[in-house]
Amino acid sequence: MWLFLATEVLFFGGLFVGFILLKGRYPEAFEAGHNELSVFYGGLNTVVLLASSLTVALAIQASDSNNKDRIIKLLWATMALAGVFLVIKTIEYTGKWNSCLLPGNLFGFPELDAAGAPAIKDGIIQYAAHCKEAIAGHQAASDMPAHSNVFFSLYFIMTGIHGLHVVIGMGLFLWVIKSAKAGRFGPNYKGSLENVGLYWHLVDLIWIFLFPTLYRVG
Amino acid sequence: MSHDANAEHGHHGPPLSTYYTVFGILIVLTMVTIGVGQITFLPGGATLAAAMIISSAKAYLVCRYFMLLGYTDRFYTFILILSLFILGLMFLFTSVDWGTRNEVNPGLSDAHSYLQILLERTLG
Repeated sequence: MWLFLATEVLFFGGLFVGFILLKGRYPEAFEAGHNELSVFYGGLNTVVLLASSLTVALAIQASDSNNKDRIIKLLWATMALAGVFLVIKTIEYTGKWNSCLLPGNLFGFPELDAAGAPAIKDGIIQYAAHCKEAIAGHQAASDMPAHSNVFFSLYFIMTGIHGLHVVIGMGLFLWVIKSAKAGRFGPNYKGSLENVGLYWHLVDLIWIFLFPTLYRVG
Repeated sequence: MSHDANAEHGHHGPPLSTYYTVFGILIVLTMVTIGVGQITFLPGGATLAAAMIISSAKAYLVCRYFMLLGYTDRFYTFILILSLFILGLMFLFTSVDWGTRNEVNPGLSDAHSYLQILLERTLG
């Protein structure tokens, strides 16, 4: 399991390296991007994931004392927290969508030329009309610095892949809850429960670094 | 995680109270991260460094107490550290490459590297 976690570290690590280098290349755009992300929602999700890490660790601990009901309850609590994380993430994504703060060529929904790149008229990219207004605390996409779309490309790729890990984690929890109900986990066996737990802690660890990388720092 | 060791000894982690204490510290550290970010007079680099140091401390706590690295064979810690080391190499060599492209190949002037052109076409 730890070998798999090592591959995950390198997988996400590559994205972090790309993020840092591109931030060095476009500091203004990334600064503007950081300011568009809600520290409240990001911080709340950090707390939610830390709590879910606690519940899954306690579930594994409960298998040492062979407490089947406690294992199942704690695993359902972890599932619920994972769900809360995704709901908060959806709220954030919806805000970005409404403000046109989107990856790549979707940023500002510009008119596209024949090659599919944003069409430039009079030296500026022609963003869609509704992307020229500031809404819900977000700056208008058309007022953002050049290359802000690179920041949002990385934001959606990194949080999207992380979110996919959360969804996969929820599937794995359903599986171990089923095993727990069948009474398979106790002091003598908890292999699959432990490994799902390790996977979940890694999802938490990645978020621990994603939060200050994407949301916080200037 | 060592299944054999668990089968042998049954209980194999910290006491229950440790889990709650570690969780409490993790929440406090999260608040500190947010707090440091609000201090506007600090230079950006200092805020970034502080945030990364705090995150590393949080990662250490999660690895040691929740992932039970402090309670199992050190080989698992070795695998984790090895992956971080390789990640460090990746960062080092990519940075050196990225930072010196312009000196090595000034002809590219504004678009500093083929990698940048590729990234721009892919990401935006």
